[in-house]
Amino acid sequence: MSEKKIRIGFYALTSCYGCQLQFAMMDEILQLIPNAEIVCWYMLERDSKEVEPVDIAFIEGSVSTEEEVELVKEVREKSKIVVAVGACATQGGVQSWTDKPLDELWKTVYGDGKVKFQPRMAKPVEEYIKVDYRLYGCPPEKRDFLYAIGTFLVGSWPEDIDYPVCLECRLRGNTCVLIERGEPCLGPITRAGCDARCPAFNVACIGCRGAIGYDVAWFDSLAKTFKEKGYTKEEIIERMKIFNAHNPKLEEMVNKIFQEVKE
Amino acid sequence: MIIELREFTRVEGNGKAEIVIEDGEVKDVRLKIIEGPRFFELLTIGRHYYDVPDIEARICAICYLAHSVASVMGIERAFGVEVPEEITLLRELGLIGELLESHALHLYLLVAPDVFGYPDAIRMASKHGELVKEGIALKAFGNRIRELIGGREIHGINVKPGGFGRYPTTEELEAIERESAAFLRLAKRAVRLFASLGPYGEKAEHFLATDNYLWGEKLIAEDKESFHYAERIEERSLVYSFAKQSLYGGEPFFVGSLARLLLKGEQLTPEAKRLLEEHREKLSTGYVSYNNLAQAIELVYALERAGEIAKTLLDRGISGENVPVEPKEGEGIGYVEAPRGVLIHHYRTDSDGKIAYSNIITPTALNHAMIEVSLLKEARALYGEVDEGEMVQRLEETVRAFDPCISCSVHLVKF
Ligand code: SF4
Ligand code: SF4
Ligand code: SF4
Repeated sequence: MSEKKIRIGFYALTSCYGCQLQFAMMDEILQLIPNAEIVCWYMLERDSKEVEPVDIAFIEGSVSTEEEVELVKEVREKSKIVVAVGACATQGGVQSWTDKPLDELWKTVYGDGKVKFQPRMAKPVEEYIKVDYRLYGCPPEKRDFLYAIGTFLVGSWPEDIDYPVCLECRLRGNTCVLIERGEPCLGPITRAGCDARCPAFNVACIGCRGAIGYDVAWFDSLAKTFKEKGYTKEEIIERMKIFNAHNPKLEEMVNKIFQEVKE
Repeated sequence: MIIELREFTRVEGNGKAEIVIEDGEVKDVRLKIIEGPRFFELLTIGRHYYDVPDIEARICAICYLAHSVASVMGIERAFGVEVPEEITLLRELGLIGELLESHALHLYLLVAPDVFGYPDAIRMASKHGELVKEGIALKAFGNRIRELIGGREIHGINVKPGGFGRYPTTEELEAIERESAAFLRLAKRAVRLFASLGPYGEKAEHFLATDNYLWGEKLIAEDKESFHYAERIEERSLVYSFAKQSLYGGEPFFVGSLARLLLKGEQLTPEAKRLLEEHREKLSTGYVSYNNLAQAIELVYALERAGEIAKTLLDRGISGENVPVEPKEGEGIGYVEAPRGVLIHHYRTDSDGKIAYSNIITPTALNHAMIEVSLLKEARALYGEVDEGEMVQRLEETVRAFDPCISCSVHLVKF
C-alpha cells in the first residue's frame, strides 16, 4: 500500500443531501481512514469551504444554478477521478423537468418578484463535465460506495451493472407485484444493485437506480405489459420518467406501443 | 458595509447570512437560502396520487419519512380515507425513528463540537470518542426503525396511502421494545450534557405545533385552540432568498422540539415529563438556543414512546391489513412534526385521484423569520465587542440551534 493517503472530496449541488448522508452513515468509513483523507466535505467540517485538489471527487445533486455550473467545472479541473453520485447527479433526479420552460415555472412559484439568482433546468452532472464513474440510486446503497472506493484503492476500476432489478428480485424469491397484483413495477427496466429492495417490502419499484443503458432498457415491452394491466400512456410515461426524465429513448419507445394499436 | 457570513457548515444544505452594517451599527440581517430550487409542488401537479408520497420524500433526506407520512395523510384526508390505530401507531413509530436519527446527528455530531470547542466531530472524536460513539449508536437505532417502517434508511417507499407494503414482524417489534429500553441511559446522559449550554440569540414569543405529539388534525399555538394553517399563518416571498418566510399574526414564531415540549408537555412519557419539569424554568424563558436541550429531552421521550408503541402492538397482535383507497375529488392537509418542527402537506385532488393543487410548508421555512431576528439580536450584542471571526462563529452557533434544514426550506412556494 502506498504511503500517500488518497484524498477524497464530497460536493453537493441541488439535492436532498441523502447521498452524502448515506456516505456519512457508513461505519466502514472509519476503516478507510488509514488509507484515505477526506479533505473537503462541508456538511461535517467547518474549515472545508474551498474546492481542493483531490484524487476522488464525489458529486451529489443536479446542476441547477449558474454557480453550480462553475462549481462542477472547478471540481473537474482539480480532481483526478470524478464520481457522479445518486439519481440527481447521474440522471437529473426527481426535480428534472423536460417539458416546461423554466421561466414559466419560475413565475408560477416566485411571481414577478425578482430573486437574484440564475436558475437552470436540473441537469445531470455529465451534461457539463466529463464524469469517470457513476453511483446509481436515490440514494445509492452503502455497498455501492464501498465497492467503488475499494476498487479505486487497489488501483482498479468499478464495473457498471447492466442487468435489471427483476433478476435480483427473482433470486430473492419475492412475490412479483407486477404479475400477481398488476402494480406498476419498474424493476424490468431498472438497473439492479439494490437487491430488489422495494419488491422485498411488497411495493413496486419506482426505478430510483435509473434505466439500464437505453439500448437495453425495454421501455416498450414493459409499456406493453402495463397497457395490458390497464394503465394509460400518460400514466406510464409519467411513472417511467420519475427517475429517467432525461432519457432520450423513453417517450419514443412507449409511444411506439400505443401507435401500433391504432394502425 | 455588509458582512457576509460564509456558507453555513454543519447544517443540512446551502445557506448563508448577510449582516448589514450602517454608521457603525447592525441595521439588518438577511438569511439567504442559495441552493437551487426544486419546484416540488409543481412536480406533483396533474400526477396520479400513487407516486406523490415517494416523490415528496426526496425533498429531504433527514426527514424523508415525515414528508412521506404528511403526504400520505394529506392524500387520505382528501379522499376521506380513515385508517385504524394500528396504522397510525406504526407511522408514529417511523416518525420516532426519524426523530432519534435526526436529533442524534444534530446533537452529537453537529452541536457537541461547539460545546467542547472543536471545529468538527471528527476532530472532537480524539478526546470524546465515547460520546461520538454513543451518538452514532443512537442514530443507527433510529435508522433501523426508519428502515423497518419506511422501507429504507433514506427514501424508502413502504409508507402508502391506506397502509404499508410490509408490516413489521413480532420479532422485529420485540427487538425495538428491548433496544429502546437499553438506549434510555445514553439519552439521559445527553440531557445532562446539553443542559449545560447557556442562552443566546432571541427569545421566541410564539410557538406552534401539531395537536398530537408527532402528527395532528390541526395546529395549536399558546392559546391551545386548534386551527388550520391558513387561518393564522401568512407566507411571503423574499427577494434575496429561494425560501419563503412565514409569520403568525405578523410576527416570527418558532416550531421544533422546544415548541413541542412547551405546548404538549402533558403528552410526554413519564421520564421525559420529569426531565421537562426539572428544566422547565430554563426552557420556558423561550430562548431558541434551548432547543438543543429540548431535543435531548425528546430523545428520552422517543425511546420511551417507541417501547410503548411496540408493546401495545405486540399485545394486540399485528393484523397487517391495508385500508382500500378510492380516489375522489377533495381537499386534505397532512400535519406532521418533522424532527425540526411542523411540516404541512396540503392537496386538492380531482376525481381520478390526480393532484390539482399542492402546497408544502417546511419547518425551516416556518422558522426563517425567527432565525433572522435571532441573528439580528446576537449580531447587535456582538458587533464591536468581539472580533469578526468570533462573531461569525457565534452567529453560526445561533443558526445551528434551529437545526435548520436548508434543503427542506427551498420551497417552492404556492400559487
Ligand atoms: S439522488 Fe436521491 S438521495 Fe441522492 S441527493 Fe438526489 S434526491 Fe437525495
Ligand atoms: S416485483 Fe418487480 S422487480 Fe420483482 S420480478 Fe416483478 S416486476 Fe421484476
Ligand atoms: S427496488 Fe427500485 S426503487 Fe427500490 S431501491 Fe431498487 S431501484 Fe430503487
